Amino acid sequence: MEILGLVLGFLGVTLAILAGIGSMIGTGIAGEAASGVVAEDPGKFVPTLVLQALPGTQGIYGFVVAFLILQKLSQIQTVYQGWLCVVAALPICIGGILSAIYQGRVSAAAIGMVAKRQEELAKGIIYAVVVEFYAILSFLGSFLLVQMI
Amino acid sequence: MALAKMKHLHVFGKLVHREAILQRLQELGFVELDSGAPVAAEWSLEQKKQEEAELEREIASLNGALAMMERFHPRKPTFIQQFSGIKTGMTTVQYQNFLAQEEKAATVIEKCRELETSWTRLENNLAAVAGRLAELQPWLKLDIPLSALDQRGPVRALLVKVPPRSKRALGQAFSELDGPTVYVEEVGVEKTGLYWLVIFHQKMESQVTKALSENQAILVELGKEDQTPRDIATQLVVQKERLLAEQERLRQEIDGLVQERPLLQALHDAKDNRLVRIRTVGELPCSERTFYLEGWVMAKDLGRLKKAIEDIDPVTYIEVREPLPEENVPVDFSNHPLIRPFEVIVQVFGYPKYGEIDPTPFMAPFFFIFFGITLADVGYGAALSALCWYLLRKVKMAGMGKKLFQMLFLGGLSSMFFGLLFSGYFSDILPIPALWFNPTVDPNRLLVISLILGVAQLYLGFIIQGIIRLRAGKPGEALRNEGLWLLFLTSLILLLSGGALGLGAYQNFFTVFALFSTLAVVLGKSLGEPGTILEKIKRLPGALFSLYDAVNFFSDLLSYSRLMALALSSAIIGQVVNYFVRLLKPGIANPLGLIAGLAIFLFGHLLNLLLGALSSYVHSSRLQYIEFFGKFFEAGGRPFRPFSKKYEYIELNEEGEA
Repeated sequence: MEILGLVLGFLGVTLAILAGIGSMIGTGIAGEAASGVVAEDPGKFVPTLVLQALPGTQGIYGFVVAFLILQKLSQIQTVYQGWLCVVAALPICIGGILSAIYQGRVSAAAIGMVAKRQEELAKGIIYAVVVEFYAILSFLGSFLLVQMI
Repeated sequence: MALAKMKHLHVFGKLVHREAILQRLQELGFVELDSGAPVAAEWSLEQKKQEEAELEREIASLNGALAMMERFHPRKPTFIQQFSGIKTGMTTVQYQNFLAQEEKAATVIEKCRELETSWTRLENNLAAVAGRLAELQPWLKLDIPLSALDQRGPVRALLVKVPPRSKRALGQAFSELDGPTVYVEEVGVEKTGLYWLVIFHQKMESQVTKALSENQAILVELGKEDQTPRDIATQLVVQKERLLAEQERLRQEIDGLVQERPLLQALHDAKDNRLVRIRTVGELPCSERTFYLEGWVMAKDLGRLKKAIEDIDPVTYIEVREPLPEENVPVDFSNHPLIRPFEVIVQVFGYPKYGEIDPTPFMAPFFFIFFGITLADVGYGAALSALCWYLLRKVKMAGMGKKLFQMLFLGGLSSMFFGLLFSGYFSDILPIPALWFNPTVDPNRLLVISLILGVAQLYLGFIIQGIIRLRAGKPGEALRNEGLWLLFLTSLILLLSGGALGLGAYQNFFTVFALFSTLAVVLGKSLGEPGTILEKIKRLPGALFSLYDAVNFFSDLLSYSRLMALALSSAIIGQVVNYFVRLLKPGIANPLGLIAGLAIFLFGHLLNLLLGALSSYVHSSRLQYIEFFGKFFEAGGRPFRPFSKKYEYIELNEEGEA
């Protein structure tokens, strides 16, 4: 077994997990906006929490991909296979980070909308979920690639 | 089907029946009043300003009392009510009973006002007592009555607060004074200062004050009572106890009053409705003996409406006519009960214009299928449907909220159906083979199915647009635009994917077919449209360029691949949850693993269900809005808003369950 291959496999797992960076930033941005709204009107906690949680999914997708790569580690024999793990992690890593940040910004704006018109919560969620779709595509890309390792 | 037929309504009635008729209209909720009617010269508005002001005042005092109750006893919303709002449920009988108790309500309001005033006074008193106590606190060890500090003979006594850092300097200054000794007693010590009693001879006064002010000591004025600070404090504590007890008594009294909250709420809503009615009455043009009313009514309600008005006064003149083309007619849906829940998707997008095709019946089957494919899981579908069923039964909902949950209920059924086809049982917890195939094993097949569904929906969109043109009496345009275009697209699809569909043998035919249909589209767009020969030839380049629209079609089509993507992603996340559960080896022999496994199972699948259901709803809607509606649907209609009763605080249950 090639040590470098295994190290690269580890790198793949790490990269996939790092999709969570986007979720940290995204939920962070949305959380700041939500706190401002709840300071004025504590009754809006639940709706703003829903919006804040939306950019959190990218972290989960990253974790799932990391987990799938982890299961492949025992089969790694060559450096080539190690590189495959790294490349397979890239879609969710990059796509997850960027989409979560932008989704966080959409969520923050939607939280501002909920502050003025709570009845429009559903529309705010829809805007944020449109961004989510590209995280799903990234996740799916990584998933399909992991299957090929 | 589709949109409800609307009629324009004119009513002339006797002035004396004006209010009775409007009251009936408000109860029925059949008519949207058109208040923009211009008033003719001989007609005037007869408003009841006095009654209006009276009602406004009553509503304001009801609101005041309700706000006071809310302050002491906020209504606690349940999780669902955070979204739906809190309303007090009551039966119509209870409601009528409440309305008959206006005098009782007046006493309740009066009591509320009194209690609030007493409460404020108590709070002020308590604050004063607390302030005095805090003031006395450092001086509790001063064992002479405060009145003794008053000037007596040649001796002066002062209470001062000395900053800790000045203690030494001040002591020094006093000892260096020229004359009789200054007596200092330290009564209290706190972090912020030292509390001194200073006694000195009258003639030393200017020197002592100078020394004090140079060392930042502050003179304290405690009062002139004939008691020591401790005695005063003891009395104050007793007084405070009394005030607190009084406050507690008031609180109990308020608790008792809060029992009457539903009474005030019912009265508030009844008066609010009356106020709206009186204002509306004031907007109706009147002559000396008659009034005039104009509005919109659904054709199906017309019979009941006429009867209701004639019951009040048979000599009321009612005229009904079809809407004119230039009128902005309000719209309402009128669909089959199974289709009705899907109206909410159209409502979010925008109401159709009156006379436009209602897209709901065409969209509903696709939405149903899309939702099922994207959340194809028996377990998730059952959970979603059960939740919606529970909410629909437990929470009183109306309008869009009710439709949304009904739609999600149907969506859950669709999910269960596709879960059976695709073998989704909380992802892969049950090893039941798929009735059709398993998308996680064979995603390509699901992709093809998604695209086929996309072709079907996009074609339907073109066909509907063609039918709209046919209806408008433009068969030529329908043929040139939609007819030839569909032919062209079909030929392209066959050309591009004929091999994959197993029709490779006909490839040559498809090529010829594609060439012909292209030619037909170009010629149809340029030569087919009316105009001189020169104009027709000038249109040729534009017609050629319109072929580029095929790119739009294929980008729309590819958008349907999201069905596969969403289906797969929720299935995979579910699989990972199940993997973790199995890792813990739950079983009878391993109770710890069983509990942990159950927790992971519930939490993981709940999260996945929420995310999946949300994505399914949003993306199934998006396919309708952008890909499907874009082909034929304009929207921009005005929803029908009949003049009816509205309730802010209460909710009437007809069945009698409170």
